[in-house]
Amino acid sequence: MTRWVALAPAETPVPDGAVGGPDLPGSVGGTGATWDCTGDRPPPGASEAVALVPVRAKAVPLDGRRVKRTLLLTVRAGADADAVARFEADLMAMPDHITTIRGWALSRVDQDRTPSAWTHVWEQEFADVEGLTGEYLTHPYHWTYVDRWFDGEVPGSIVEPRLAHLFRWTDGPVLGL
Amino acid sequence: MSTAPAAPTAGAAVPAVPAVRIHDTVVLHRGDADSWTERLRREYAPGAARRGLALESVAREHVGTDTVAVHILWTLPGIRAFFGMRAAAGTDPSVAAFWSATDKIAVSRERRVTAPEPVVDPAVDPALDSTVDSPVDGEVPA
Repeated sequence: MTRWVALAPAETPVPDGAVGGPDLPGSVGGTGATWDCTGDRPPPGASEAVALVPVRAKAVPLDGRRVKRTLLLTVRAGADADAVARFEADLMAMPDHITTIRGWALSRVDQDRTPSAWTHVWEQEFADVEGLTGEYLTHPYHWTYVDRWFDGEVPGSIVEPRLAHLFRWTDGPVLGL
Repeated sequence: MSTAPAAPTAGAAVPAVPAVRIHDTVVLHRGDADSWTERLRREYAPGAARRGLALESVAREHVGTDTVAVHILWTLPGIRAFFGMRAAAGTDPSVAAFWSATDKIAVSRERRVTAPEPVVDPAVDPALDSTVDSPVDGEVPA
């Protein structure tokens, strides 16, 4: 079974088998709503869907509603494989530093099933929006270290400037539980 | 109720402002340093200022017989200002063009982003001021 992340217009009903909802204010680069599902096919009605190949994930118990954040990104074509591996490792170390990250998953986009400009999907769950807009955003590990992979002014950066940074409320676990 | 900050007390950490420091180091052949620094001031710095970057200093260091490192320090007032600057730079083709032209002549280049640590002001706590004479061996302060 494949896990999918899909983008859809905000008013589109969430199809059976998927969970999702409108992106919250502050989201950037989406089409209004984000859906998650697991299955053999992408959720119907999505404007864009990517099939995920897991790199690593960690499920962390968290009761009740939570904020699901999805970052779709594109590693520049031709980026050195060692650099990509270091980039992935640096992302996956963020939960070691940032206490508000609960469950998380890093995936590559399955380009055979869903050819896409996006190459990676970096997802987290937070207990509330402040966990994302507060500690996640402001932790020095993020902006003095990890951000260099994204900053086109830094030699060696490998991520294209276009991102989809999307977050929404969800009633229950999306990442692994 | 007053919102004025309380006066620092002896030994208190004084919050460092601004919150974000960006250090550019560009190593150039000696003959390129003047023209590149002029281009930095003319072509890059005005846009950087519009993105919120304050140019704090430009300094040179000879790092070889024929190479000079130009160290530039920029500051931003906060982390959100940093991410705002990043977003603006990412959509401004003149930024990429400037660094692309720089990389064609630079021996090396790096950018580091740092978070200042709170500092202790020696004027507030003289015990931490290295310029204050220390007692020498055998001298017993009154």
